[in-house]
Amino acid sequence: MAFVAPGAIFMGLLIAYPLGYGLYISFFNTNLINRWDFIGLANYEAAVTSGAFLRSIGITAIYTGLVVLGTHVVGLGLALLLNRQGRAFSVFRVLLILPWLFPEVVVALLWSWILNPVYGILNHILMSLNIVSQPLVWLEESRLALMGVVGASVWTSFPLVMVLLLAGLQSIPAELYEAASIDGAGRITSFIHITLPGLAPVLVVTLILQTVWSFKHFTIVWLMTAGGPVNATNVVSISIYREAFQYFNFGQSAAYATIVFILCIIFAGFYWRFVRDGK
Amino acid sequence: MASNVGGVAFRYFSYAVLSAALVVVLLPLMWLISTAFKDDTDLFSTPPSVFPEQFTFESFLRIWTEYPFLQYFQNSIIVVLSATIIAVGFASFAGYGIARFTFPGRGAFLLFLLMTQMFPSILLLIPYYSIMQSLGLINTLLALIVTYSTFTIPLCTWMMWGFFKGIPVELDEAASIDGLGRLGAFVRIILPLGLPGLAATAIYAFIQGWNEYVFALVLTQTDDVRPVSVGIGNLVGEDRIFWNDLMAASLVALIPMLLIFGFLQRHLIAGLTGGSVKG
Amino acid sequence: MKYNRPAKLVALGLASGLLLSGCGAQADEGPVVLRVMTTATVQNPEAGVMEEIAEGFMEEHPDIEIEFLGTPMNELYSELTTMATGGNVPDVFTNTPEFFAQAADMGIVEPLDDLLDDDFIEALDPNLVEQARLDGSLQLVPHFSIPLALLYRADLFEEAGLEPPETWDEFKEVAEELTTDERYGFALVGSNDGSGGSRFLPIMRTFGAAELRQDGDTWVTEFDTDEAAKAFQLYKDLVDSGVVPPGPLQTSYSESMNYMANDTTAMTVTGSHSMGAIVDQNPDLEGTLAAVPLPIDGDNEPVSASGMLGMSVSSSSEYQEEAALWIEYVLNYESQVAWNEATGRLPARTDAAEDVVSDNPEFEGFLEAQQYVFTMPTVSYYERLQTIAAENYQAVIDGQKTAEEAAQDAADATQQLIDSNE
Repeated sequence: MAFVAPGAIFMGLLIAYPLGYGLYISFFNTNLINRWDFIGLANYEAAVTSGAFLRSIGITAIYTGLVVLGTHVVGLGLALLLNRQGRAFSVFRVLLILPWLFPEVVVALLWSWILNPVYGILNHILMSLNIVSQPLVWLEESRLALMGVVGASVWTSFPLVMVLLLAGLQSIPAELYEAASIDGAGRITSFIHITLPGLAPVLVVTLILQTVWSFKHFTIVWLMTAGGPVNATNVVSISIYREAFQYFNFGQSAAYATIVFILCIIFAGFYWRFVRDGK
Repeated sequence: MASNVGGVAFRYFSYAVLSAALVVVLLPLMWLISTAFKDDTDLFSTPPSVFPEQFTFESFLRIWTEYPFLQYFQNSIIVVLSATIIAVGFASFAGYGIARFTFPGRGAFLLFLLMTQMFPSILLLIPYYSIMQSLGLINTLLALIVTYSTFTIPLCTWMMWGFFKGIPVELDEAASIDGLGRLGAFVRIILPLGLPGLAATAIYAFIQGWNEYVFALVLTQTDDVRPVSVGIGNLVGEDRIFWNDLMAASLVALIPMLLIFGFLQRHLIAGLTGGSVKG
Repeated sequence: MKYNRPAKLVALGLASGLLLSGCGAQADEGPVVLRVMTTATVQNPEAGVMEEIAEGFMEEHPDIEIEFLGTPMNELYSELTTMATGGNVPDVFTNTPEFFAQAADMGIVEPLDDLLDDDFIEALDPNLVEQARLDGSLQLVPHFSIPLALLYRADLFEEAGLEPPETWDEFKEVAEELTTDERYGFALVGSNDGSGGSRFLPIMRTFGAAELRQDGDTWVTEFDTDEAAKAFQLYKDLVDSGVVPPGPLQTSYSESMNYMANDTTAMTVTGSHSMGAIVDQNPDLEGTLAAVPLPIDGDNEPVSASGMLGMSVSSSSEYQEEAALWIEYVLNYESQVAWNEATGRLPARTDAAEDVVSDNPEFEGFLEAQQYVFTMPTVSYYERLQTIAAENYQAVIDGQKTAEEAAQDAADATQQLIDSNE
């Protein structure tokens, strides 16, 4: 107990209190200064009946789905390939982690610069390779913009998934594969019967973390598109931010945040159950 | 496993895929580096030049002379190192406590650690601001140290918990027999064994702190306390975007990450295997 | 305030912890520290001249120390609001006609009429002072204005034998003429932010539709008129005809400046400070820039927005007298001229503004535009209107809505705001 107390107190003060405060103001119509009208659940009612908020939840779900899918396809694929000995592989391993080290600010600005329709390098490459004839207006057309922010997010997020999954792979005892290979099992069979089950606990952790992080993600999308064009990338964190810091409806903003919190907890609940049952 | 019939072909296939991934990872980095060495006119040439027409160190000079990046770096290093030490310190005690003792509220505490990951941090901005305000810490390095340690403690605790679980309890008991107290056993025996886990946790905390942007933006107001991430963001000027300066600053901002990572990367995978992945 | 007690408890707990670790900060004795939040110190050339002004001031008043809290314009309102919620508003802060109703609503502005001499206020441009009043009380002291006009490359016009356009129809023709293999005619700021919205609304007024108009005791919107739809259609037509560089929805002010400075575009709609910004970036363009008031539709009256920025004093400041001294110093003749020379913003002081323009005829077009400045509606949600406009012109450019649909949607959203704030 004495070991846990310092951390618990620290977090109690600096996490539990602000969390509680967020919940508290979600029941008010407030600018946090001189207007404090208690309005019960009206903010929540406004949220679930507002097309804009529901749309931004929808966009967030698509963004999250694509980022989780992207990071896991890339991360798992690379982890499987990297799971072997050899100098070349350890070099790959180190280099492929690099994007994880980039600050989000840098990731967002760098990708905006790469995707710049006039001065950017990507259009130049695509046009020199004759893949496109006209410069693509990345971040400008709804679908391309979503692809752009998803691409940047996957680029910087896949290494962590890759490293965690690689660690998971390495914790699967080699004897299992040997036994399977004696039984005449092929690569695919042993992947399904040994690798996937062995990886499951790690996979669940990476899935849940990536899902929750993406669902709340703000910086990269905000700096790249600020939610545009025409709200095509208006993820829910941006709605929360705008409601609070541009429209000064702090209560409404808090209600949005609380709804996101609840959605994430529901998701985590499934995960918790899954892990319990798995054991 | 590599001794299969298709082993050689598979090996080549691996190299091909890994190399392709490497290109996707490194190209943006190359574009970043290339931009950082361009002069102002080359920057906006159409079509863009892949390599600088003329290598210039102007931007690198400018970030030290025209902008206070030396100060920003000093701030970031102080803040992030302190926050990392604090977070890892609290987290190792708490992680050890959870791993070794049962106490009332242990399950709730674990759940709380996970829940902290679920709340959109944007909305914590306001309560943080008012807490820091009442403490008189607005616009101080200490505000950032406190914030960053708080944000990383939950997941760090989770990681350390996973790691300590993997160290046999018998070792604690042996230490107790040798006359070391609980604390002695922890410091002298368990912690050294936990070093790889500590390293992985520290890398995580360091990266989180070094990359954070939104809170730093709000909690700091003058250059003498701003961290690098905010300094880079501020290079998106009102009258123009200084892409070359921006990329030069980003490149320099990456260096500490690369150093830390270079020193600790060997421990990273080992640490993560023992840590968070064993949900 | 209701939420202060828990915050203080937390503070107490933390503070004791911090004292133990010996990190407590020590306030030093000495001169009064006047905290000034400004958008003028985040980049050069503004930062350089502002700091010089501060040095001059501190020499004159050794008992006052100026501490700048620099913030980019796009962060200003959110940072001020955060500070207001923490009860920590700086003594002096940048304020604008877009924001002052909101600031007054939060109770953070000290009315300035009693704090400043009448003589001092009378030396300022009466138009700007009028814009700085809310229900008759002075909310901010105008510092400078950047009237909105059409900025164009006079050299390119001359080469092509073109005259600056007076109507939007002429404008479209000119823009097409100026679009060549190397260059686009017009840098359209089509981003969804203050930069985009604050350009669209005055442009819409040149068609004869006001986003908000006072009608007796209430506000009405003219977004739902044919005139407003024409403005939306103009944006669509310009993009479709290829006179605008690719990516207008991502083109904010800084991108448009990059285009102008790098000879990628020939015209843009902007304020007088852009001249300096462009030449600073590309000195070869010195002497090639000129401006005229915004084109109009048919024979409407010309329109411009003042782009005025000013300084307010915090209602909770302990140093309001010192704050007034600072404001008077920033607005003295020498400071105003130095500020204009470095940044191209037009002084709020009448005498300084007159001298500046007679010395620098290239500002003429902007000064002409200055006469047509409209008075911004003083509603606390004015900034919201810019977002509403921006979302809708983006939808039109993107082809998701017709100009008429966009105009109607903007009208509905605006009406909702009017109703909920009544």
